[in-house]
Amino acid sequence: MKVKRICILGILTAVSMIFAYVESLIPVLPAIPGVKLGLANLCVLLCLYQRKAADAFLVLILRIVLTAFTFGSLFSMLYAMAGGFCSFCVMLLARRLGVFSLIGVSILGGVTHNMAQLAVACVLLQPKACLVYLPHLLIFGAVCGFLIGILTKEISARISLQDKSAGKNIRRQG
Amino acid sequence: MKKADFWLIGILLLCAVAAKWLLLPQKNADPVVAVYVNKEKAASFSLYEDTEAVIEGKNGLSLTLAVQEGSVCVKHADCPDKVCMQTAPIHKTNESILCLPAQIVITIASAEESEYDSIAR
Repeated sequence: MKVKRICILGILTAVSMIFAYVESLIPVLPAIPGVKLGLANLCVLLCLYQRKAADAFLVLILRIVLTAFTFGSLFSMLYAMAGGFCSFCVMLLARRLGVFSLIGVSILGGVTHNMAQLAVACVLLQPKACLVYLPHLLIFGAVCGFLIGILTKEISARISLQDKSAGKNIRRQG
Repeated sequence: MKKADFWLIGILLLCAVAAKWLLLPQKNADPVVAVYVNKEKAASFSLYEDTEAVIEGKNGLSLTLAVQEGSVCVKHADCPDKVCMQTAPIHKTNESILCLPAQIVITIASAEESEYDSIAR
């Protein structure tokens, strides 16, 4: 593994861990419990667009495992894994398809994340009571995905995470 | 943004509206508060009698449920995330409060429906 790759993936994992923690501190909307912004997805999206898909997957899995051990529990890891894994697969597919822009891919990721977690809840709990939240989760996944998509687009235009140009970028800023 | 993005947003909105419409609460003459632990019915309460009860959930977690003037909320929970406590009080049929770590579901159902449940079992 190249040193630059280790550095970039390490920074992205650390930043997404902080995002995941900050998110858990922001109070949720009372009407829709447990909804999060999905800031951590920003790092995965950045990686997916500027580096290899394998790197994005690595950042995602590391973030989920590390946040579960530091702030959460094995139980929260189950939901995070389901959401993270499904949304990653869909985002990767959407990116490869090429019909969607970055914002579209982000929306798909957000919605898939919520739907996967709802599916897990339906399996573990009484399905009817969980399905009541489907419309809210659908809308919020789309809205949050849209916002994260805009953020990622703006950041992606300013910061390069590629192995080649990363050094040049830092020099220019210094 | 590309054309497909707008289509995606439109389709998602349509799905959400359709789902909301399908899940709209029906008229319910006799609502009861039903509590499920791990998919199985654990207890039921009248919606119109003020009560407080401790529900034992899975993983050694429990929560305190309170019924007050026709609405239900969770007063206290052992779980680390406290999502169930932050959920707004529920009062309409089909509304529910979920506690994921303890696998507890609190929902408002009609009394008839829950009777069918017990006959089926």
